[in-house]
Amino acid sequence: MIEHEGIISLPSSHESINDYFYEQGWTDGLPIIPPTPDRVDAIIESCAFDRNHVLGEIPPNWGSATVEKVAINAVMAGCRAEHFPVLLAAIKAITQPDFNLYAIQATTHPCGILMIINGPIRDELAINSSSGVFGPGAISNAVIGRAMRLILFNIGGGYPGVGDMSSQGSPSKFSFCIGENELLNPWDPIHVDFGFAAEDSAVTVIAGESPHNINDHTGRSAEEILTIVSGAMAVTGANNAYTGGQTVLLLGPEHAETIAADGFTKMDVIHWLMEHALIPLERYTRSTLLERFGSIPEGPVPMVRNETDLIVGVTGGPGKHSSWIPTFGGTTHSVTEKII
Amino acid sequence: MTICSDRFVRLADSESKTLGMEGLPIAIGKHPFGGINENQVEALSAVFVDQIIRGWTSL
Repeated sequence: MIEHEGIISLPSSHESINDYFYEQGWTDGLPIIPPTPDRVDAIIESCAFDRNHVLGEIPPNWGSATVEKVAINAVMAGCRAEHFPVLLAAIKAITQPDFNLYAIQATTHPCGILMIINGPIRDELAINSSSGVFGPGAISNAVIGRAMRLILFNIGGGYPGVGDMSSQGSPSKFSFCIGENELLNPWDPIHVDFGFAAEDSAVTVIAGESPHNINDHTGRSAEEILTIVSGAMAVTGANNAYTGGQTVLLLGPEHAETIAADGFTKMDVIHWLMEHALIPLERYTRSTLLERFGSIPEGPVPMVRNETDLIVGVTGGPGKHSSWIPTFGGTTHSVTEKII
Repeated sequence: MTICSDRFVRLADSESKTLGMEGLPIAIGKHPFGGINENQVEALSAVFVDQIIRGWTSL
């Protein structure tokens, strides 16, 4: 018999339960699944950890992310036991020092936590990696991404205007979880780039803005498509224009196929964009250049400053669209963790 | 003791409490701190100096 602490008894109506959770500030504004002991226990019992095992501490309030607390938020978001291993790996990833979660949570920048899922678990959970991948419709994408946000709220204290000071916020803060379209990826998938085996399942977390669309319906060669990509990336306004750091290029399968057919490897794509995704100095102000770089640079500012500054992957369905995702900038780094 | 913009006081209060430092004296200045000129920085620092002296001498 499990002894549960802090059990709340509420009227059983859906409305009463949700009203209570709204009033406590425990939700993202959408209705939740009540985290009843049986639902929470079913998730906890599916994993190898004790309910009090601490997975990490979530800033800015530095709440301990115990397995039980993560499970409660997972239930609230609509997760079931099969989704839990992804969350366990993702929590481990976001609490790594390189990720800099305190800054990600408290910043005025509108970054969400993008989770990219690779490996067999993608198919096992029917995680969408095709048409509408960033949008609604796929249960696993929706509930895993939502659970992450509720964890950041309820364990970390990242409430808008309190622990999350994002000036405008972002729709990516509701749910931001995708699969990579490995089937139509002409190159190695992202988790293999980061040292994992293709047959491993893994989650990569990145503090990203919402995706910026890259439309190119006329490019017939790698260089033509990458010319449009470079134009979309060479912008001021993004944190990366000032502080550098990683960004993410997620090519649609049709763009990726055309680029690869021209003999471009993924590293060729990165090198090409290092040379061509250049922000003209006239797009900056003099004061911004002096503040950010200490002096006026001699030439345009590269959006991709070195080979590790661009994550390249493939996602989405039919059509001539790709996306570029700027990030919080040079003081955060993506983390990839194996899903066990 | 720390300094903080008036728009970030809730974050500072919440964090000091969760880190076991409830009641930490906080010197508060008018937001924003970024993108201000030297005269504004000087005025802001004067506001902080007074609060810091009060904070330290009241401990």
